Amino acid sequence: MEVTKKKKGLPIPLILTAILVFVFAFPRILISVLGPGDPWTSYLYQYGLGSIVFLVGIILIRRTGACVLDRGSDKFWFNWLVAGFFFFAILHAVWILLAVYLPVKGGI
Amino acid sequence: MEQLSGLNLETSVITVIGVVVVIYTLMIAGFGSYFSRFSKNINDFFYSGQRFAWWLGAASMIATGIGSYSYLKYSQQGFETGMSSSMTYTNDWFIIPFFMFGWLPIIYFSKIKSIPEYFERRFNRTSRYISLVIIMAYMLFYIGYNLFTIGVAMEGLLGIPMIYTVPIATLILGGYVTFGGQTAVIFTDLVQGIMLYLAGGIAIVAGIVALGGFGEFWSWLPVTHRLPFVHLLNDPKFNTAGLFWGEALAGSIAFTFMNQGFIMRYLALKSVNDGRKAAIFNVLFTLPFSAIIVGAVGWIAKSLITKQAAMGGVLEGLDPIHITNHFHTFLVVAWETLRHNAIVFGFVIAALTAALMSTVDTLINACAAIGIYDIYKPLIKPKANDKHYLIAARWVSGITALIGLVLVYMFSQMKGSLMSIHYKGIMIIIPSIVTTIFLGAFWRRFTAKAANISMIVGSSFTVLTVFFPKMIDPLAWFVSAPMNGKYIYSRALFGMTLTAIVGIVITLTTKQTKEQIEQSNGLTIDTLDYAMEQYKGGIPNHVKGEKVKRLPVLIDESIPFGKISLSKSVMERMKANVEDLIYMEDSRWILGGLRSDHVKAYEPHDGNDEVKMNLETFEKAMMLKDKPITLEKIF
Repeated sequence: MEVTKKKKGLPIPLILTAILVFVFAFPRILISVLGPGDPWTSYLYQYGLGSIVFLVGIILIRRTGACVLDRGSDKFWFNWLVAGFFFFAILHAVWILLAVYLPVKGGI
Repeated sequence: MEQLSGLNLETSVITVIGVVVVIYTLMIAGFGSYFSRFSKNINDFFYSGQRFAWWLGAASMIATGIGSYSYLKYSQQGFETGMSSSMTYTNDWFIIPFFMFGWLPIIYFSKIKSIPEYFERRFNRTSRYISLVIIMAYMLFYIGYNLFTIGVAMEGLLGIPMIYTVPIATLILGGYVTFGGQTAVIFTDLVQGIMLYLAGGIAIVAGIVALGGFGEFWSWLPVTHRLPFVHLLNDPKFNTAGLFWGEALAGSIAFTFMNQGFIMRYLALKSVNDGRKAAIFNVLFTLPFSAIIVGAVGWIAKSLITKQAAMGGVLEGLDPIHITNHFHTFLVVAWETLRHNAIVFGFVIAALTAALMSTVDTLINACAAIGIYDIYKPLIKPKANDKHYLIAARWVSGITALIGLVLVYMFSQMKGSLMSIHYKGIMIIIPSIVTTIFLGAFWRRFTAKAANISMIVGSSFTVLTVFFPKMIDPLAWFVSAPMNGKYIYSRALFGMTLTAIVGIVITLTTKQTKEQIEQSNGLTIDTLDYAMEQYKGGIPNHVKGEKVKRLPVLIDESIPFGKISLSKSVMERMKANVEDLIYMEDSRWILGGLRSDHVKAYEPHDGNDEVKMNLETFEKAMMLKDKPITLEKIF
């Protein structure tokens, strides 16, 4: 049985530590700078931490050979993955802007 | 729970609504039963033989993803917190890379029939049965919950006690799922999906019109209710921090990776590529659109109430709207904005029933699949023919529906809002199993011992946090989630973290044998090449070719069963070689692959572009005489 050739190993403990530090520090920075009630705090919490999960997924599928860009339709689907992430991130950002800046009769 | 006496429906109105619902339900049941003829063996019954087009799977997932509780729960949430009710439908993208390139090809190519079967092949038999208990708890929870919510809605609306409406709904569901199988479920859900979008759309348009147009709706909506995110921490039952860990990660993984109903939809599709198309379409378009369909009436309700208060208590052409019980937001607003039109309102209510049926039918079929493949076949009757298993599957479907019925009683005794009952249950059940699936699929080193112990420890301690919520405090503090002792979503984070720690520590302190490493071939993300090879029975051919349409068929008994002979020009257009895996289908796209099969390319012939095959191959694909076929190379 021949499995996909492994690339040079990643420094997993180092990456894991960096992720934990980020998960701990990032929300605290957001809360101290913007406050917990600001819509951008919620937005950045979700997309800041979510991008870590997404990035881990992307690295994993590329390094394990599950997604090989010059094989079949892999590149096509990979592009959809990246585009989808930005689609949601942009959609939510525009949504917040429209919610905050368009005139309102119904109060805060 | 407060009933919907506020509507004060007259008997004649209730009769009209009831008649519309009954007619609709019977039509759907009849439609589903028609497709039972396409379930010829046990594989067809559960998986429809891996043959459907992506759009059919994606469309039927609409109805599967929206339960009867969705309209009620999300309208209530939309009324209380606004457009942030859409969060749970728009936060799934983060885990999609793992699914599209990891989990989907693993389960598809390894021809896994159920998640517990994956656990046995990846780990051992003990893992299979631990996971089986957890997954069955998850699915039966959903079945009971769906039946309960429709019972509550009908009780409030028609005044008929749940004790009568729920058994009738269960009987009808049991009927067409039991006799129809997966093909019936897929085609029925296709229609149901369209109907429930239509009905939800009617309720939304009526609400917008009642408000005086979209501009009025938007301008009367308070800023807090316009936002796509809720406050990071404030509400213990609905906050962004908790939702990210509990819903975007644990909930999304559970729904995408281990919901047997969804898994079976993907396994019913003709290829992994079609599965990817369906997944993309589902997360990118269906879910956000569904968020609007199930939640928008709540947003409209908030706008209506705000405008009504500003205008002195009544809006032109409408009775004063009072929503005393928020759970009934959808029903109250739809009834008022549809100007008490019993027929249209009846159709909207029928859609609620449709949502119930389409979610529960999938879950019942999925439970039956697990019952047969994980309990009946391996433990009770290992060697029986397909006909026997088909009959057994129908019995299991019926029994599952009955268990769901019993669970309705349990839910009716519970206190709290539907929202809290739902997530309290789910966030206890799923953490340990989603973590184990993840570690098992994406870390080849992860051992059976680690899987078994971490699932048991993870599940046990997650249950314990219900009685000792303080255990969650440190983790909630670490991720800056609310620390209030009323944990719902953070409980899932606790369960996932504990399961992962236990699993990783045990794996690193134990060794895998050579056999165990071999056993995981094709079942982990880094061994997918092997999985593809096994699936095809040869080296995959990834060169992209053309889809060749509308070819005539010629019966030739010299071609072996399961193979087709093509002309050299067709082979060239498809970039296909002898022994490549080819998908052939009736050229009418509307069938979505109902008449189709996977075959292998035989030696090419020197004739014209006709497709040669023997009669048995032709009949197995359920092809029709004189109907041209379309070919597509898989790999």
